Amino acid sequence: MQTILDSRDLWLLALVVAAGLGSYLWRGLGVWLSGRVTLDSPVLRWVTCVSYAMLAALVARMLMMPEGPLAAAPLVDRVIGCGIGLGSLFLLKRNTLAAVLIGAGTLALLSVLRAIGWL
Amino acid sequence: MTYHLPPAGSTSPLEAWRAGLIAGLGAPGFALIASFIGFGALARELGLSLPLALLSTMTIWAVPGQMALAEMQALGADFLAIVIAVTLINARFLPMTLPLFAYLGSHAGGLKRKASLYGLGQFVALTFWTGSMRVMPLLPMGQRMPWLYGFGMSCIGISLMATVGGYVAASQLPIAIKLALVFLNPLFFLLVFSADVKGADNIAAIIAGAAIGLAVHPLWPDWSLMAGGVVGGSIAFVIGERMGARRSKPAEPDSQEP
Repeated sequence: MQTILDSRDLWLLALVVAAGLGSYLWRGLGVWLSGRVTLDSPVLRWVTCVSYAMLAALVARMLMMPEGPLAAAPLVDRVIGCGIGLGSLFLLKRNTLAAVLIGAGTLALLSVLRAIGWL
Repeated sequence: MTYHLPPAGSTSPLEAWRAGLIAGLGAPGFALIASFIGFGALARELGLSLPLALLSTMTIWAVPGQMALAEMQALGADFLAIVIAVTLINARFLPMTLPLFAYLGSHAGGLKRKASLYGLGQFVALTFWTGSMRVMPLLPMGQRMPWLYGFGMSCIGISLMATVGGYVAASQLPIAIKLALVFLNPLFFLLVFSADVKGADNIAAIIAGAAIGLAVHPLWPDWSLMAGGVVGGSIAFVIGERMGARRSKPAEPDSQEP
């Protein structure tokens, strides 16, 4: 019989399941603790800080030192895309969804302009 | 943003469940579609198969953790490093779950009651939480759990479809569109950080996490998220506690927290 899953696939499957369990840990713990602890405890504030800092480290890396197709876009294009997105956010009275679409559209436009040799 | 509610005066759990399902198809649905199209495209570009991308949407069920997993496996990071990174990045679910489940009252009851509470916990993530916190005070106790189940099911259903959409789009569409799709999520969180995050400790955490993460990444790519998170977050926590000692008012939970 042909092997359907190679060892890399199994490794990835185990990874997704383990990461899912790790994520559920906090959800399940939250359900268990609800009604038993107060929300304003130092441990919870520390947990929130670590989670924010880690998310910021991920986002900074994806924007500044990306893997995959974003690495093909020059840094200056990514920075302009972020700048236009941020500018739109404040001009559009904090409509995050519209600002994200405008910023991402800007990056696509810059890439087209480069491809046809205008930049 | 307004959310679909059962008809006024209704106490039927079924009507509440149906209203929750419909609520997921409104504005929250659009945010999820953009987010998970972006994730689907990223997964394809970083070499994750479609079944695994879909499984991650069901199990991890939050774009930041899924992005971390897709990125780190492409970098060739260690199994344990990836699991710890995803777990810590999702630690914010704990402070989100507590106030939401406080609306559902006592845990007393049989196994069925416990199973439905712990099952419901799986839905906790940004979009679900923001909508649910808004709606819970508006519903009678008997309709809360069914509404949450309906809302959560439509949130995950829409996200699974969008994951497929992004995955297929990334294989078919020109490079410029592909770039825009994989740019959606990091840009979204940058904007959330810039406009919606409140509290000195959380703002300090974002700055310290980004700076430490970037500085460590070239030397130690497997563990740079962990360094940014644990070191940056702890520094920010200390700063926050020092400042908090001077103002005694406890902070309100932040409704826009990612």
